Amino acid sequence: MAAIAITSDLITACEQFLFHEAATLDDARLHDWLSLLESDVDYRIPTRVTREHGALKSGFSSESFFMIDDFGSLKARVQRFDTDFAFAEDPPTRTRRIIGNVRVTPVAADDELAVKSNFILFRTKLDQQSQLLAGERHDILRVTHETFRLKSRIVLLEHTVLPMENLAIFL
Amino acid sequence: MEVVGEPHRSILPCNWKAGAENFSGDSYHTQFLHKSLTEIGLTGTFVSGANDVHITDCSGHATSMRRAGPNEDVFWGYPEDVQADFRRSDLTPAQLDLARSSLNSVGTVFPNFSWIQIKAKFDPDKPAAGILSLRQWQPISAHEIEMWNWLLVPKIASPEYKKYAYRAGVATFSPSGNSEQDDTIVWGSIPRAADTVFARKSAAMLNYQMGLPPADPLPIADWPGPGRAFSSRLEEGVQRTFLNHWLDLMERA
Repeated sequence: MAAIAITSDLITACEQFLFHEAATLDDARLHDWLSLLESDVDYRIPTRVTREHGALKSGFSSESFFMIDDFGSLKARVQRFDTDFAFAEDPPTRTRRIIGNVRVTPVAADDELAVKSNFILFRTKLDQQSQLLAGERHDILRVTHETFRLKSRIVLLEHTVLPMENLAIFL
Repeated sequence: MEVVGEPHRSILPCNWKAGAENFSGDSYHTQFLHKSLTEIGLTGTFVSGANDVHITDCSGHATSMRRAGPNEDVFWGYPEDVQADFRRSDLTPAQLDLARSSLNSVGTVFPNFSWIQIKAKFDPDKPAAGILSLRQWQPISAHEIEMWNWLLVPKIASPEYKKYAYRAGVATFSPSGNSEQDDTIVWGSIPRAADTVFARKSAAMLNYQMGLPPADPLPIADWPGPGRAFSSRLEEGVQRTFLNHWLDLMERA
């Protein structure tokens, strides 16, 4: 096992994967999004609390999460949105996200990459006020046959209080 | 029971009474509002059972309970090792009987604190787990609240069960919960709809008459607890209990 060598072509390919993934979510092509996930995907959005400067403990919880999902529970969420009775997303939330500051680092496994990225997400619904969500994502991408799949994602929000009535979108 | 981690906090565009009233025991919104859950198999069909209870006229507090038959030991569906640890001798026979037969319950402690105890799934193909959610509906203004949601699991349960049950709780009763997502959307849309020109011109009023005479269910004569209990969840005495108590306090002030 040897770590994957990081080249500028590889970094570009990782960025293109994340941009493509973001487009499936902004376009509400959720089944296309599911197809970008590994079957053993681990998806988490920990809660966050404010801590003082120099605190020994991270503000991100290791126990509590806004979302903690595997492929089965993510698929169930998408199937729910397919029904005629998922009122949270009918009419759908409008989102537009900017993904940037992509950093690719090798990991021990010869078919995986650690990819960090930042995001700003504009969200609006009906005629309501809009919200901005911001955060960083720590992803592990699995590389197979020149393509990527998301193996794990931890979404680190800048928010301690979710500034909206629900989290019915994927980050 | 023990709290898992930190509470979820989120901003909802609704009055604090929306959540408190819903958790008082709005038992009949589930069939329609949460129909997506039955369609994909996250819950069974919502049914009205012969042993259901609504508890009303209780100083503003109100509760809705689903119960199994009198001779079934269910204890909210908790695992057997958790049930074995319950200190049954601390309860009166009537309290023990109620705990024994309890499938789920939801209620509001007047004015703005609520709970829901329920069995929930995060994946239709995996078993359900018991979870307790505690709520604080914290007003920011007349039109906005900060919701605090604590999820609790049995303290003596195995670490695996606690994590599993927590996941079921997040996937059902949290800002991302498959059930909660739809509840909070409605709480925000009620005041919007009520404030429309159409609502004003047509003098639209919400109807809260379900369960009033002559269609009122009979009270349970030997109910051991406080309040008046009815053996049906298809009535609105629970919401009237909450709202009437609030109105009494406001008028007295």
